[in-house]
Amino acid sequence: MQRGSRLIFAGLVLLGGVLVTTAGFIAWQPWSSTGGAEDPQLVVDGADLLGAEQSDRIAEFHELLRANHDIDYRVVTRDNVDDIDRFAAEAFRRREVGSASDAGHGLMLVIDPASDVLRIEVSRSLEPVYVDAFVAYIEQRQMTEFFAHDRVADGILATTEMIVTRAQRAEANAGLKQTYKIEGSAGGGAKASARLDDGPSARQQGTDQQVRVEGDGPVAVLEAYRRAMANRNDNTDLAIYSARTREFMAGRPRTPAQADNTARSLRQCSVEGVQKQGDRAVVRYPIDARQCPPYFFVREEGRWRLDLVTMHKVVQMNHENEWGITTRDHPYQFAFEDWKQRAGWIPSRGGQSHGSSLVRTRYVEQKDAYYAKTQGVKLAGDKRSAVRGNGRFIALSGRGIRRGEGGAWRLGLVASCIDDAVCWEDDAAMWIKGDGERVQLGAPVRSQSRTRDANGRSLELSKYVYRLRSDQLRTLAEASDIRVGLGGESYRLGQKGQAMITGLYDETAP
Amino acid sequence: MAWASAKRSTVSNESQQGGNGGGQAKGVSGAVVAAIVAGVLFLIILFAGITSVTTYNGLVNRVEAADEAWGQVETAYQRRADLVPNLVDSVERFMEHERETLESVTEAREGEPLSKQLEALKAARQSAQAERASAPTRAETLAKLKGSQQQLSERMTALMARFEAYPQLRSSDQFMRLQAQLEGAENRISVARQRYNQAVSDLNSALQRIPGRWIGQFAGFEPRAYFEADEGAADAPSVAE
Repeated sequence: MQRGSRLIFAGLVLLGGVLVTTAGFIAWQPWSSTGGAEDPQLVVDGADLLGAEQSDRIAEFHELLRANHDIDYRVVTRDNVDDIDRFAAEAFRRREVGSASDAGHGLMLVIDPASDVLRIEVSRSLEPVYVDAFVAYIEQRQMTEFFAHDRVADGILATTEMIVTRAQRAEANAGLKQTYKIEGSAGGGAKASARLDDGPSARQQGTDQQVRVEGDGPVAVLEAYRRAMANRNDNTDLAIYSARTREFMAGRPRTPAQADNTARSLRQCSVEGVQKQGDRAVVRYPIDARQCPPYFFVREEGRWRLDLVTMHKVVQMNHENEWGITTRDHPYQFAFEDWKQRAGWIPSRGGQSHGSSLVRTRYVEQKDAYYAKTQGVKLAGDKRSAVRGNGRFIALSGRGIRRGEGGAWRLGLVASCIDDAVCWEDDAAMWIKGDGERVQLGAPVRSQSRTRDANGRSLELSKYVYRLRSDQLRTLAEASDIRVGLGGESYRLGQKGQAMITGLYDETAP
Repeated sequence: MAWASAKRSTVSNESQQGGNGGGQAKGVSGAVVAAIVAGVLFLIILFAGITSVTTYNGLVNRVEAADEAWGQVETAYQRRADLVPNLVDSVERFMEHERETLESVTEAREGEPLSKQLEALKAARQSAQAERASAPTRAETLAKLKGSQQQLSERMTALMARFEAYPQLRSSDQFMRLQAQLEGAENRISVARQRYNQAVSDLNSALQRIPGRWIGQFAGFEPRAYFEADEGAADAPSVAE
């Protein structure tokens, strides 16, 4: 009888379990069918519109956008999507665009080459910044102008620069700051004809006319240039351009947005002075005005003319739209010698800038920005670094910085290592070298965290902050070729694929 | 003889003992059955209770989702309605600025004069604002709402189409901005309606399934009406890649 009771009891327990499980199963009826997030890749070229190299280029740039401005910007190409508005909204949701951003800031560019249409979808959180009219403007006045010249990747990147500029302005007004995450899109954005097979657009009406220069001298010519850009004059044969400039500009896309940007910049920037030497001149703006590049002029046939060719080679903008000089080997270097002597600083390319023009973004400081690249990265040869071969790599990255109100200068480096590799163990192995002797850095303040790169791989981030003495700072500022060393290996400052040390770092900045 | 008597006595004693043991066995069996029945009843009640509570909660979540989606629809409609005064203002300033080109657009052209078109647009906006309801459950209410909003859409589209016939106006930044705002407003409405329909579909399906239909009836949940697709609307695009 006891055995029978046990059997009955066991049967009841089993029955109870079955009933409870069934109840739970019936009650659990999934009421949202969002599914999991799809591949978080920044560029998905389903239509084979971009090559692998171009896709990588775009992905790199957009990764910096995410790191520096917390905006998750994806690019998708696909043929024959039918209704691009609905496709973009649905793809935005399925890919969880904005999930890589702390505030849910997301943008998605969809290009349908077969239908020759594109759309930029904007997340809810970004709608106040990237209003529909602005999105339409950057599509029609910038991006598609490049597309018409069969320069798709350039068009996407040129538009991303405008997105960066807008983000910078918003950040200056706390427009991007949010205390909570807002996800998804509500249909914000705009669409436009992609103009992929259109060819260059017809010249603006009335722009065959020459511009009138009022007065003599480079500043007068610059003012005429500003007026030409304000009128979106895309005539490449203007008399204010040097002969080489006219040749250079023929056949190159000159978008209305670029003209607007140039005109705005020239209107907002105040000339500091003009440096002349023989038949060459440079109009300069204050060195702190990082969005106001210098302009080069050459005298031809008794008139001052813009030398945009040399400007294009020597003065370049980084991913934060800050100008920098790429080389000292150019005929206008005479105009920058007094800067070096007076303040000791010359802004350089790639956001690497020094002294009073250093720029730092506090948000980036808190975000542990990183950069990782799969090809061409040199491994550290120091055995103590514990970095192995076979696909693992180490990359050093820094960031552009904004000057703070005071405090010691510090060099901040972030080493990112894939998988579980320890980036390096010997902190004191770090050194810097400019034109002179190698300078050993002191022991850093070190912190670590983990994250994932754009391909979903686990990355360990080791952050090192070295306090710089004034002589070390001068070494970084004055050198034409700066290397940062780790054990037996060294990395050239700003050299892609090896190290991406982009700037100095001030922890006390507000 | 004595032995037989003793044997009979033994036998009868044994029978008596066996009869007493059988009675005791019957009592135990009854208790077990009662326990089994009670246990099964308890489990059934537990099962019903869990199912009811979780189903009810699921329905509440779906109703909230549908309400939230409707809120987005209302927001999108309001946003478009708020756009109209700015749109009218912009068009009037645009007309002033492009007076020469627009001379042929106004009185000399066939069809409604532009000024009347703008007045009609304002009137359509007021009408659409008046028709708005909250969380409609009846299909006819939704159809009426849709009708007034659609009229507003058509008025706005017709206004912009008027300028599209003139390349010099169409290429202007002002027109580009107006068109972007208009298309953006329409797209937000379209997205909001689509998501509302998805939320309603989820709710209505749950109210038709078992045990949702019983719990729903008991709790007073009602199915919601859908936004019907506009004429000529395409099927949802496949986004699978």
